Amino acid sequence: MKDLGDITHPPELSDGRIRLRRLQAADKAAVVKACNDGLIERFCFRVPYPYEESDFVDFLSYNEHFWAHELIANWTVVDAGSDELLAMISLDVVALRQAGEIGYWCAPWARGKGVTSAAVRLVRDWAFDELELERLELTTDVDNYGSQRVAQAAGFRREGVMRGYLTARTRRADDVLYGMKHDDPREPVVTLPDPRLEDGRIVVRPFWIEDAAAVQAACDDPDVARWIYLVPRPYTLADAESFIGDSWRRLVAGERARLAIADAGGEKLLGSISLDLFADRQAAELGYWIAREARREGFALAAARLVVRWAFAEIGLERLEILTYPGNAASQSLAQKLGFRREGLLRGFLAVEPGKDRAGRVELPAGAETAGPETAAAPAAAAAAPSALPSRDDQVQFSLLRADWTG
Amino acid sequence: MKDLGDIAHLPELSDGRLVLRPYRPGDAAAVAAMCQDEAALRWLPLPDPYKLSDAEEWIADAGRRWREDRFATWVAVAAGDGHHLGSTSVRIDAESEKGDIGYLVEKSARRGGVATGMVALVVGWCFDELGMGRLQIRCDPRNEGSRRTILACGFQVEGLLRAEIIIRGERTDCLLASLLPSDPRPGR
Repeated sequence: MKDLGDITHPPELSDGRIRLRRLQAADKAAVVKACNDGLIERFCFRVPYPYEESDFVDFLSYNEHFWAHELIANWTVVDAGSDELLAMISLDVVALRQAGEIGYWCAPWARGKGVTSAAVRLVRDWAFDELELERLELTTDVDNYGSQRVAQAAGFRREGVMRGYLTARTRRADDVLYGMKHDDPREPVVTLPDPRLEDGRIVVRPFWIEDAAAVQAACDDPDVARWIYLVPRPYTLADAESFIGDSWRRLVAGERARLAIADAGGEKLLGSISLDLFADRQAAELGYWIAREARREGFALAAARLVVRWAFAEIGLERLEILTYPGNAASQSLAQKLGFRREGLLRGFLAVEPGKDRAGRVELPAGAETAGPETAAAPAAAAAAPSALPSRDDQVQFSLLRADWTG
Repeated sequence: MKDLGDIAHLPELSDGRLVLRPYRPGDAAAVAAMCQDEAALRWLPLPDPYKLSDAEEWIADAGRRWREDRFATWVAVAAGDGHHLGSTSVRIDAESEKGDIGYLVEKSARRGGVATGMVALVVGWCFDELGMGRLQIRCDPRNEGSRRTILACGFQVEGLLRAEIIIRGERTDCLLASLLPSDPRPGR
């Protein structure tokens, strides 16, 4: 690490499009406007809320001392041409560890344009190349989707979830730690990008919180509960909200892409389609449900075709799996139409969820066998009591390999 | 199913001939020698070349593996003189009450029923002690010794999973076999 005493003040940084410069008194109106924003209130616990003009005056008066007293470099991110304020970014140097922690917020009017990612790249390069730090860190709320995408775009890797990391505005929050070493490749680290897949008739896109009512209506359905493992019954609006929150959390974590199937405008929810990743073997399990009023229109097949192409061509997976109940004829027919091949009947693969109506799930014929040519013997319990369902449910497994995929 | 949080340390399991016991630091040389064998490297996703330090790390990590990953691993030794015979494991998914069993036999002890004995002990623990709902074994269809073990332990082959696993960069098929608590278990 360089001797930081040689640096009296952090320098201006620019990539030609944005410029990182010192905070000025003239930034007051823009900073006050930006900081009175719901997302900054929710995720940036160090920023006072509501944000008053006096907060800005205090911040400006101390800003000059941040670097000298605490080794915190603070920049205002502005448009390189117009000097419009876009964001704020800081680097907190922890000299003892030769490391630095990056923090930022982005003004509501500047979001979705890559401004913060560009600012992080400039600070990252300064920290590694000029200060010669060994490591950079960035922590953010597990539910802060945008911030995690910024970290990934700048080459930070997801290292872990710190449970109960801090109390922010009376709420105890779990935070994700993103880290980067000085010799890591300076390129984006994105396992699952944000898809928007279209075929002219439907759109497959991430869920929005506005979909909650439609998700609840669709999932509070006996068929969805019967065929989808662990879908609660009855299904409440709170279930829908946690379904959507979980979808975002896992998408950005690169674990699962659970996406909305919507009409061509992208607004009306038709169903859900998901890929559960097994990253260690470049494989994923495909699952879906379709809202009752949208069934028999071919939406599941159309969405699955889009997602299969995305999985093989964009994510680079090698193998896709579909697991379904032996009694689910629609899903097995869909698997075959997509070119999946049946690999076997997995006996007792799923534990039974309490309180679920399982009728028809495993098609238990009167008098024995749980069917399937691969099964040599009927489970003893079923043979002893032919009317009773076994304690676990079978699954039929299908697979499609990239090598066999015909597009 | 039993709460795995109640099991701080893996038990020793024995059938009078074989003993499955938790790893000890002194096992490193025997484990390394077994994993350097050509047949082991062919069928298992082990580091290649397999070094003594790989065995030492594997052994040192055993306690954490059980507590955090619910991945139970044992070394198998002869009940009489305690000489090393092999390794076995079960990776438990407590939520679905399922487990995946693995095994590897010392070259000099092959074709002596060691694998079958190890798997039977693990099966007994999983079903009779823990109350699990399903056990699985995956193996390469070309691995004849492993296929014999699967059948000898009463497992039923359910299907061939295509390009399922990656061993040293190469995708290979594997057979999936299962045993349910209600299935007949040979020798019981």
